[in-house]
Amino acid sequence: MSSTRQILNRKRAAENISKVTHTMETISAVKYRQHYGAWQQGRDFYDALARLAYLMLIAEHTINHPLLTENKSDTRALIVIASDRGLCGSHNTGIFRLIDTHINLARRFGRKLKVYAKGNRVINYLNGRGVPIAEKYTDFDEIPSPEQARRIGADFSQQYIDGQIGALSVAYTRFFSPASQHPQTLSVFPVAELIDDLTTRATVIWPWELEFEDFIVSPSPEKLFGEIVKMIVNTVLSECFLEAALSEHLERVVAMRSATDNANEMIEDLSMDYNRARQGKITSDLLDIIGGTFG
Amino acid sequence: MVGLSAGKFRCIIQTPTGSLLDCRTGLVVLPAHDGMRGILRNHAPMLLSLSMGIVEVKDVAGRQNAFFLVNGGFARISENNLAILTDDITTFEGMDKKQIEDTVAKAKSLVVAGAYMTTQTGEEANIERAHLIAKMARLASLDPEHS
Repeated sequence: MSSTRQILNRKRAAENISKVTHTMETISAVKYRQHYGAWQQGRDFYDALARLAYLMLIAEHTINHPLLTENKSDTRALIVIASDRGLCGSHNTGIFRLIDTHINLARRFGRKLKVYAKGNRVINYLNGRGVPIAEKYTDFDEIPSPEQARRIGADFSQQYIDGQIGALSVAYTRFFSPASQHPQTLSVFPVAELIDDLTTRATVIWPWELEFEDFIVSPSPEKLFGEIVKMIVNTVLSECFLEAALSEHLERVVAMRSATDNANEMIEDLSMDYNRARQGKITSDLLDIIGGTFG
Repeated sequence: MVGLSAGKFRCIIQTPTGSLLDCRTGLVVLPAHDGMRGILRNHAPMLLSLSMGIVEVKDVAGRQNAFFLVNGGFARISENNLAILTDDITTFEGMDKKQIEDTVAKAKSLVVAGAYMTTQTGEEANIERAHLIAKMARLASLDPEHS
């Protein structure tokens, strides 16, 4: 049986762990609430954009835009978003699995993969696997500013139009609701798939009896569509970073709460062990004294 | 209650950080890509691209006129609903007096230094924005020098 000093040391260590995990839980809970508010407030804008793009996509007048049509490049760009820190459950593992799938698919179909990474964990993983990283997003903390999102969106749009990349996808943890988050790959270019995804997730079904042909469009549909697509891509990219951060903090809250509970349980057990050991020591000391008196 | 908001239509301004305005209004002036456009009730359905400029929401039911500086975005008008979607918007709504005065003063100093800055740094967009912020303050009667 351990000595009381050993038990006390273990108890103190468990108490320290409990404090650290509880603090991490609190920090992540605050960040989660902030991000969740931003996520909820952006829903209407997101839905409105999706409906606008859908209206244009189903028009009888076929809109031709370079971002809508497939190009022949065999290079695929992939943005991977994971966390900077660990202790967030299986948040990063799910993304690593998606990266493996993309690497295997690229190898199988003889395609090149251009990886853009956000988050130290995923950067270390890619370095470990020997996958070259085209760009690391280190100039923002979790979510890019509107200007940064515009720069990222414009860069990829230009690469797609120039034929340098044939597709753009984002591997991130999608936040469906506080009860459901899953790692997934969102296809951004060609943009038809993205619009399909947006309209599927839009919370309001097409509400009007009007069709695209009923609208006066200014400027030309092609030009207007180009501008709408630009805004959709920027919004979607920001949203991906936001949802990834939201999921990370939620998973960390859950993981840290469970760690705190476990540490508290351990502290209770150790307290009991300590009291038992202390009582045993007192009893044996008393027996020694009594034995000495009567001896 | 028929007639309380006769001649009015619904106007919503949506941004990625939330809805900034949802009201019934009589007239909205929009900075379209090809010039200013006025929207009244029963306007034909229209999809419009916006440029940098001031959105003027006038004759609003139950509140003062509202002004917003937008930089790009879209307007969708259909069935007496006007939805303005933009990801770059500046407004005095929700700001206190001190914040408004600071913003207007900063914008004016940029306007005054405009000619010098344009030649030195090429920051034309910022100067145009500063011009429009000063104009928006005048329109909203929030400019201390003109009130």
